[in-house]
Amino acid sequence: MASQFLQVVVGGILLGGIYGFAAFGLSITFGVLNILNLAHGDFLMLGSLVGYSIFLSFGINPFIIAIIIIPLFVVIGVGFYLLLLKPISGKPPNQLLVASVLITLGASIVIEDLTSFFWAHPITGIDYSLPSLELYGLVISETRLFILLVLLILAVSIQLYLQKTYMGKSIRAITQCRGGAKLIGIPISRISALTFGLGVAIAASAGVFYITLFTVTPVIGIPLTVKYMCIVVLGGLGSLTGSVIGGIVLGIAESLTAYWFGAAWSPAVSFIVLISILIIKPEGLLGRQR
Amino acid sequence: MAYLLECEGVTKNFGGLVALKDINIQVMKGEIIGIIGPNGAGKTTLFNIIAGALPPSYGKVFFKGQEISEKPASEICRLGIARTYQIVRPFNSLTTLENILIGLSFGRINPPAYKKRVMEAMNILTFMGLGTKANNAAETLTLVEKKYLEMARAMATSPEILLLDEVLSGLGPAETVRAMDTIREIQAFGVTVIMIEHVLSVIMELCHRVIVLNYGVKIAQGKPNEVANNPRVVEAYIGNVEMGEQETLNA
Amino acid sequence: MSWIQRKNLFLIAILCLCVLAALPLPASSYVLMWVFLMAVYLTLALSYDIVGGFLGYMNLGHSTSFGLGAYSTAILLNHDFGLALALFLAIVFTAAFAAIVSYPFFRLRGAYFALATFGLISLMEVFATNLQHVTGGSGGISTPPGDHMVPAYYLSLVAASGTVILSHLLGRSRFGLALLSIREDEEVARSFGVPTFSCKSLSLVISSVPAGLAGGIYVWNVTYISPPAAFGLEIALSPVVMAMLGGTGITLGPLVGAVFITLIQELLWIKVAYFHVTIYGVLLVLLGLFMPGGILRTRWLWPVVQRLGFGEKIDYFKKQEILQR
Repeated sequence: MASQFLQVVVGGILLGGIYGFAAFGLSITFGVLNILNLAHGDFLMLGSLVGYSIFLSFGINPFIIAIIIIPLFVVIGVGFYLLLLKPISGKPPNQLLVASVLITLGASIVIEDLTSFFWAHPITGIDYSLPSLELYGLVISETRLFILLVLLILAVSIQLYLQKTYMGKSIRAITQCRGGAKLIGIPISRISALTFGLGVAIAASAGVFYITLFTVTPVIGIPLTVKYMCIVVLGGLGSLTGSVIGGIVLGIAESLTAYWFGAAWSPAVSFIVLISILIIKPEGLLGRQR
Repeated sequence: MAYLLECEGVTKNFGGLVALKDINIQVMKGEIIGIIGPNGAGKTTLFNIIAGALPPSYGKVFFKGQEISEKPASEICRLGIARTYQIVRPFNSLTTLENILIGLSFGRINPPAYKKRVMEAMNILTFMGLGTKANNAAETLTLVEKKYLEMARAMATSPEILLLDEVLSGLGPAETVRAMDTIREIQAFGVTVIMIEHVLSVIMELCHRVIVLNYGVKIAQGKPNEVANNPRVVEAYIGNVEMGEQETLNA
Repeated sequence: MSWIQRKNLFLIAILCLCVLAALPLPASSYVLMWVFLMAVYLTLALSYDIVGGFLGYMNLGHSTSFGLGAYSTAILLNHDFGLALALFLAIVFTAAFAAIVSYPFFRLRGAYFALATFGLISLMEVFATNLQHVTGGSGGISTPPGDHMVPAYYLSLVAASGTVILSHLLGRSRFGLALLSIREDEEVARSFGVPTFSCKSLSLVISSVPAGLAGGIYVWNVTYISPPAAFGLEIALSPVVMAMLGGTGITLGPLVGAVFITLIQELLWIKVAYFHVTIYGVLLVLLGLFMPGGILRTRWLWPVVQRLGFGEKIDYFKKQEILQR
């Protein structure tokens, strides 16, 4: 019984790590662009599906796919930004909000609908999971530990990236003080594009891991984005550790809920967590929102 | 209590930064008080605390003997303290008239009856010289007009204390004179005015008393010419030779 | 000037209502249903706009009120409550829910609020699907059968007209002014005495009433409700798109938007039946890029709107004209 419980908790940590990772992508996007990307969860979904396709076609190790996917989605993300978000980036906050919600929501809907259409071709439907268990046939937990390890490595590398490289520092600078960053010559527009690409790529990469554990359907996008938002609220804007911790808290909560109450209730968890935070500690949120 | 407004040991910390330290101020009814000091001295923070936008970290604020330190901004406004903003913040898409109406309808404990509201709002606008702009959206106004709108909106709440935050910045000489006249007229209505300003000539002319802040600390207070000659004040403004800050005390 | 044109518009509206009122006689139930749905969507769009347009908080979860109203009415009808009482209780329940929910949610701003409210719909869908003994689960609930088409039709027209009037009155009221001020600059509004929290909460409650009513009328007519119908994407987004397309914060906006959306829907339905949802998405994107203020705010149409007297400005200027005479 205890080992089952532990299994659930570990599953939760793993899930949470993946969430936290993707949520971090959202967090830096919001910090730099001041736009909350409602389609963020859809990029995780796309990452999963693309990763799956690559796996099916070439049989490459999923962890390598996760790395390959990053540059691919950076490009996609930058394209998305230049096409859809840059035109509105200059608007005053009121209009920016409405416009960005419309655009990212619309994009999310389009992505989800088109994906449902194209992936409905195998008549069996759109649920599937990546049988990486077959690669590492032995014990399930080995795969999971491995994923945790890889996530950890990725997290550390991202943290280093943020601390050491120009891009990373620019991201932090813009998040903390936009005006000041402009004054010292940081090219906001270019960094914004790259940040968006990076944020989206992180989500996609997380998606590859996600699909090794869970089933993916085209409509998980919005609920996922809601979860990421909860995590950003929990962990604070722009902080990787915050996102990861927040993610893990959420992941464990979700796992336990699924275990005790049945899987059908787990989408509700992120919401209940969010509402609880909002009731208990509203200042923590308001303070970060600028 | 004798004082209309009193700050007692007001201190404000933002994380590690001490914005205001142990500020003690007393304001009598009918005065025009100037608050001056170099940028970053904590002047606007002080206004924010008095007006209720921020709570003090330590210390208290008293209005007519009643403590208002922890009260929300909307309540303080209704009690009789109104403010303008250093960078103008009108309700942009709303008309000038509507801007005033908000102050009128919500900023007073006893707002006038429905039918009278528009008339009174128009009176205030006309007094401020904005009568012809009543139906224009606030965002279409010039900067000067917006500054008057800020004042008008604050006056609409029929305050006992008006906090003016650098309302004269950006005004040319003629406009400055006109604004000064307006402030005098406001004071003649019985409103106590506390103004943050950098234009020292105005301070000298208008204010009964001046309070000087530097790095969050009150370094001087008194009549304008006393303060102008206070060596600490001079040093605060002119600074050290190495830093190269320059600001003239003469008009 | 604006007097006369306003009178004209008013007369046109009365005329339309008369036509609509007479419609059941010659028209088939297909047409009636079409108008019925239109009225429901319009009610939703207008009530959405109270929070989304006047207050400036994009409540993407507005259809939660619709779904709650529908489900409560269905459950009550199945327990032999009369229609009037069922609708009334359903509205009370919906409004109470809105009041409770406003506490945590209004601590969020901007995009966070939009996303959180949107997520609320999914949450409701989960509840509806899982609380089987109450809500009938994914199979939904059927209410006592009967042909209520004609009375429901009239009810829907009443609801829609009532919401138009509500929106119009709100725009002219002191409360409406408070909402607008919060939209423009919440912090400043607060510093001028506007009780922001209670205004926000009240606006959400007010907006939930027409939506809940619409849900109740809907389920009475269609005699069936299920999670996707109550909390699905279509019912969630169409009203929002209508309001945003036409112009938020303006009473006429959702009306204009509704007209356009139906036109587009009818045109496209003939051509492509599949990508309905995608088209919505693309529409949203285009709206966001080029016309985030809606049709009524597009520059070259502005003078026309002003002359009609339906600009978002409150009507005080008309009173002022009277004063100046």
